[in-house]
Amino acid sequence: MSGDSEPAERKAGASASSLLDRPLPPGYREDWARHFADTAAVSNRVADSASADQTVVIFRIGAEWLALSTALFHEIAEPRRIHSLPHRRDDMLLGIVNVRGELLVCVSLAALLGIGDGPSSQRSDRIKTFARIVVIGREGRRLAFPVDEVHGIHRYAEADLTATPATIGKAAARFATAMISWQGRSVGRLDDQLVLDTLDRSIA
Amino acid sequence: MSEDLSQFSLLDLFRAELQSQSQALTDGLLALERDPVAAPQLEACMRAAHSLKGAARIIDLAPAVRVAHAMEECLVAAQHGQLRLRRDHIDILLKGVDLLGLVASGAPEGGDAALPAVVDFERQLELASSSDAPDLDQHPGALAPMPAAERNAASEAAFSEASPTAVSSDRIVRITAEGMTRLLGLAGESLMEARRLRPFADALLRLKRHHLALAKAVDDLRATLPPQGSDPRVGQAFAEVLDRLADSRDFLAERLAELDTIDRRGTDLANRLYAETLQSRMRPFEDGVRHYSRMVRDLGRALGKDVSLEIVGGSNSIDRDILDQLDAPLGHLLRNAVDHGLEMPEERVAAGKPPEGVIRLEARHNAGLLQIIVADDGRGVDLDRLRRAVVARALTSEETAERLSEAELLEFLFLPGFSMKPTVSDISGRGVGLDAVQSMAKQVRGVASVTTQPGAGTQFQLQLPLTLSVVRTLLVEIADEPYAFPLAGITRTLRLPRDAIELLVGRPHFRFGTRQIGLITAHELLERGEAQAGDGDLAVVVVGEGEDSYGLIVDRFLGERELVVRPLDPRLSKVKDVSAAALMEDGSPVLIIDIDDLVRSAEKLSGSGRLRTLQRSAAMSGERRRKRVLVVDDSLTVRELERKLLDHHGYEVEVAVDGMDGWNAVRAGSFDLVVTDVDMPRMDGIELVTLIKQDGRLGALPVMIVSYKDREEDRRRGLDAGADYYLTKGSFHDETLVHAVADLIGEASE
Repeated sequence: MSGDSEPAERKAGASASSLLDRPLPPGYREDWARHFADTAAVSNRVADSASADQTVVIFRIGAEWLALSTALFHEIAEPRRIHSLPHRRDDMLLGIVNVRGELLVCVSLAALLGIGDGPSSQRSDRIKTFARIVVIGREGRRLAFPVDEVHGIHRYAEADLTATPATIGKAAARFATAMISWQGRSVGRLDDQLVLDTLDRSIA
Repeated sequence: MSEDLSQFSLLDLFRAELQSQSQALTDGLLALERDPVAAPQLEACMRAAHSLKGAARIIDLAPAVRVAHAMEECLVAAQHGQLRLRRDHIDILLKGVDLLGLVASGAPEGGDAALPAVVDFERQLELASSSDAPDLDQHPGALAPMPAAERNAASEAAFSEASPTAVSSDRIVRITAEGMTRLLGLAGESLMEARRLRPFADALLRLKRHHLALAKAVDDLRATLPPQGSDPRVGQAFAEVLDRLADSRDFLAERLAELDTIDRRGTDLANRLYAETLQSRMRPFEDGVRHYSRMVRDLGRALGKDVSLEIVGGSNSIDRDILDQLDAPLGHLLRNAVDHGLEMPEERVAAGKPPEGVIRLEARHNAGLLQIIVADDGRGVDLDRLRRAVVARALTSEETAERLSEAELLEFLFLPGFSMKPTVSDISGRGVGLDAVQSMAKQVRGVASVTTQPGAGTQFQLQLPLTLSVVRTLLVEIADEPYAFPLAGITRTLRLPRDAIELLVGRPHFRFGTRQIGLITAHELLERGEAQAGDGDLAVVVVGEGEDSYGLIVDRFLGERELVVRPLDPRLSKVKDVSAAALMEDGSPVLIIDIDDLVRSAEKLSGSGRLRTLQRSAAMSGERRRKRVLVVDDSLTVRELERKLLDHHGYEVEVAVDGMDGWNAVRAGSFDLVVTDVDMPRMDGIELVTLIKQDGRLGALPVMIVSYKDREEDRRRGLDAGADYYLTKGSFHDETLVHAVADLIGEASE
């Protein structure tokens, strides 16, 4: 184009339309067709594997790393004040908590799973900064519980699952359906429905 | 598929239009009934029918097109003076409105299935119109009477025509209650976040002070150096430092001023958002009650009475929760007024009143309360008949009945199952209704009352709080957590010097006016930690009435606060001593105390029950476990009698003072048996049994009913609810109770 050095003498409109209307170079269509075909194939491949995969949110309570389905999570918020309920002394029900303007029942997943706060209290100074309140639930039945740390979303394939060994996850064994290996650790994959149902029952 | 969907949403649109148009039609038709030639009403109705016809045609709803068309024809004829609308017409046209609703309802009998009804409707309307002329001649009275009343009605009609248009110009949108709550929550949260700007800005002022200190330090430094000229580079460097200091000082000052503005605007906006969200929970009174005009008219016609409903104060805004809850009680009161309150037209004329009865439905704000009045201009309550009915139902003796004042007599009307009508009609007289009205009023902390004037009418009055969503409270601190006492339930608050506490029968008391009032720590009552020890004055909240007054020791008064009431998660069921929750300005949750519950807990705690348990728990460690029995009775005498009897036989006994209390207790502790009375306030024994038997965990717990009622049907009612045993109270005198208990759960310990 720069070789053609009299553009000023032409009408700008004519120049633009000639540029846009110029014939396609040979092979152009084929190139792009191939390009899109490839991308589609790639994304198909991704979609295929995704359908077999599941995503979970990995979090830590005490020394245990645990996971629940991503779909269960509504909020992950900074820790905040929990108001206890009179006459209720069970460890499971901590009280009520305000998350984003919503008053939610706050329970202790640690108590449900029987995770003592032994090791975590020793390390508490270091850990406190990662503590979060997590809101989970289905169909508007929401619950909050405190955790010591949230890693984030993790995608895994069925193949990454191993059976729950007797040595790890002793506390969570009742609620864990399998283990996910993640960053050299074993994460207890909790049974979503069982956890929800048991927590639901525990607050009644 | 997608075609189906769009069809569906069109029908939805039609339904929405039908809803607003049929309200306009109904209003107009009711007005036309009184003034059949009122041009604006004819016009309005015709237009409504016309637009419905058009809308029905668009969505191809043939039956609706036909109905709307027939209505329009009839109204056009009336507009052109070819037809004079009579009651029959209005009746049929109103039915047409209902028919449209049915056609659009999507019910199995709607849509094309409604065609037979449509044909019938067309025929009826035609019949009424064709028989028009002779009818007019034969019954000129059908329309001609009461010119005065007619004029009245016309002016009223003009009013009622004006108000719906005023309302409809302000479109109402529907939103779910849950959505509203979340909206309110978010508005509250944003207010809270906005309020955090101020402290942040204040903290930045410290930065400004540091800055000033820095500038001063530089000045000081320069003063210590030898005067200018020693080294021009030093002078230059200083000049630059000072320049930069000035720059950054200006910059900081600007940003601070900006932050100030942002804070002001943000807080203001958040405040408004919050207030507006709260306000949008309000709806005009008229919205909730307009549909009654039709109901009252139809009822009147069914009973052969002329009635008109006058709505006063329709634009007053009312909390939507209260308006919803008012629906059933107002229906009862209006039906009552039409059926019992108003006389037949002949009777009215004979009494020198206009034949048409007027029922006034009024809402007004009075002294911070909402007053709802349902008044009729009928014959009033016949006090002598009421007295006879009270005696006939053995509710009181004849002598007592004679001595009852008017107000006391009228109170009987609110008793469950009480009716003055000898026969039960479709409309009212089943005896349910007025007690439901009263219990609704109580539920929202209001009062229902009735006044009557013989020959001039009866007036029912409901005094309700303006809103359920905001409550004025006293915030206190108990075991490091905030709790709110509704101001309405507090007798008074005081700071009590420790030496003013006296011990009476081992329990702390203090002198309050002329009375001795028992002192209890709120910590003990709520089972939250221990009260603070110390030697300062005690913060005391006095709750309850008369004998049942208690002084609750709290850790600290935090001040008075208006709180927006938020219900607790329903999965928690009833939390004892707590009615709801709320958020404080800083976003932390606070529990609102249920004062009724609390007074009962205090009653129980200060009675023998609790002290015994304390002694017991010390003694128990060495003993074998004894069977635990919960005794639920509102009578102290019966309660104590049962407790002593069972205690004497070695059972461990806890007491509860009514069904609600019992329900709380039975879930909190593990019992082997519940012994309960039937008639109790707040929750009766039958309900308690039902709740226990329906509960998954408690279902197996044996329950025994002990009641004065010894009729077979009472017995049956108790056993049907799931009670394992039914005893009458006469059985205390021998060992029947103890034997029955032993039958059910065995000896006290094994």
